[in-house]
Amino acid sequence: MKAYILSDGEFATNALEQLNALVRRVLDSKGFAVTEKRLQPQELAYCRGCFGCWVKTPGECVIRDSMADINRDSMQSDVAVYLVPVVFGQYSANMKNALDRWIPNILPFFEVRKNGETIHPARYLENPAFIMIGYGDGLSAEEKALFTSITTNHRENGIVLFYEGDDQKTEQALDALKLEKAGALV
Amino acid sequence: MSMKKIVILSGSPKAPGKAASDLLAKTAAEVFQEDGTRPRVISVRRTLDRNHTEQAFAEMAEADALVIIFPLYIFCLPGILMRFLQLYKGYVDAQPEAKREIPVYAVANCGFPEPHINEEAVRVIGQFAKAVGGRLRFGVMIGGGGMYGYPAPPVRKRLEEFRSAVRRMRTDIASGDTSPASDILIQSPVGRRLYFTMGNMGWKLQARKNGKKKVDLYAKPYQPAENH
Repeated sequence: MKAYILSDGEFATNALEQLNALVRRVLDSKGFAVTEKRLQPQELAYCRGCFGCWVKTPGECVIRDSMADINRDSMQSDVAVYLVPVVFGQYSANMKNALDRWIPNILPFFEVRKNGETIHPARYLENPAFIMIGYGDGLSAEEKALFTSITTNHRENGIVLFYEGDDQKTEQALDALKLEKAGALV
Repeated sequence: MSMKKIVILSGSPKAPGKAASDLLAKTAAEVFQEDGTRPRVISVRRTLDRNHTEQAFAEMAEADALVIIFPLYIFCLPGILMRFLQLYKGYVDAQPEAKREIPVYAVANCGFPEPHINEEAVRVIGQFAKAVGGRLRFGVMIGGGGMYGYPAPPVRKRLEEFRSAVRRMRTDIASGDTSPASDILIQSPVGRRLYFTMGNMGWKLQARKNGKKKVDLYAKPYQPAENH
């Protein structure tokens, strides 16, 4: 079993170090082989919306930087845990670049999902379970609700937790999740 | 009507001439010009690529209203726009006089036909506005954004609706209204079935131009070796 942890070095606060350590502890205790990646400040180019990953080099971003490793390593894992600085109620710029450039892992075609909304289907039959753990100084209820909606309202494979300094609470929440591949869900 | 300073941000990362946000920003600027206002259009991509943020931020800090136009990426703001807005937040934090209570308008453009999918992104702009001292007035949520590059009659009709939405911004800015305002939804230029058909055909055509067959679009480069 493989697990992948992605974090944002631009927001390498004490909270992140604590959170990272506790996620690692939980995954280690469950016997996962864990790969960790910490994005350096402005490490990733931003997605340029060219759709080359769909029509030129299907499944791979045309920008050659560390994103190729991030996509490969996370997609080959059973669980991908993203430690996300919550900014304006969404993902920080660095993490958002990683998420925008995750679209090689879906197909360009339009489909209707169960709730009637449009979606791009999964490229792979097996996708890692995506767990987003949001953190930040004094996140408001509004910011947390927004972050949760963005991650879960329009997708079928996304679990949201928040880390607010209570290690035990987050550890229990993580422990209670089914940490296994999510099938063809994105 | 006193002359207001309006800043329009175009938040698409796409190359010049290819972004629907650029077209919408140009259209919005034209509407503001109808009453003699000379809005300033700032391309987020160009500003970041050329390292011209200081100048752009100074203009934003002096603006009487801010219009932020962007494509929806994974159900929220694209990374490039987040980078720009995060940097602006840092700029405002460093100089408190830049923190002014101005109206902010969000224009979110979605590649899916359903305009309401933009709702969270509009709320993110609301959080940004709050963080820099402004207040979100309302959002314009556009569905079927993939069609805005084509000047077909159904697109022109939606662009007219967009012009009306910008006129409402203009009136709202002039009045200084602070009472709650409702968002505006602009439906896809064509129905969902047609949008899907055209979109799916478009991907195959683009693939063919790149020497790819339909089957190639389903490649699985990151499939673990044992499952091949």
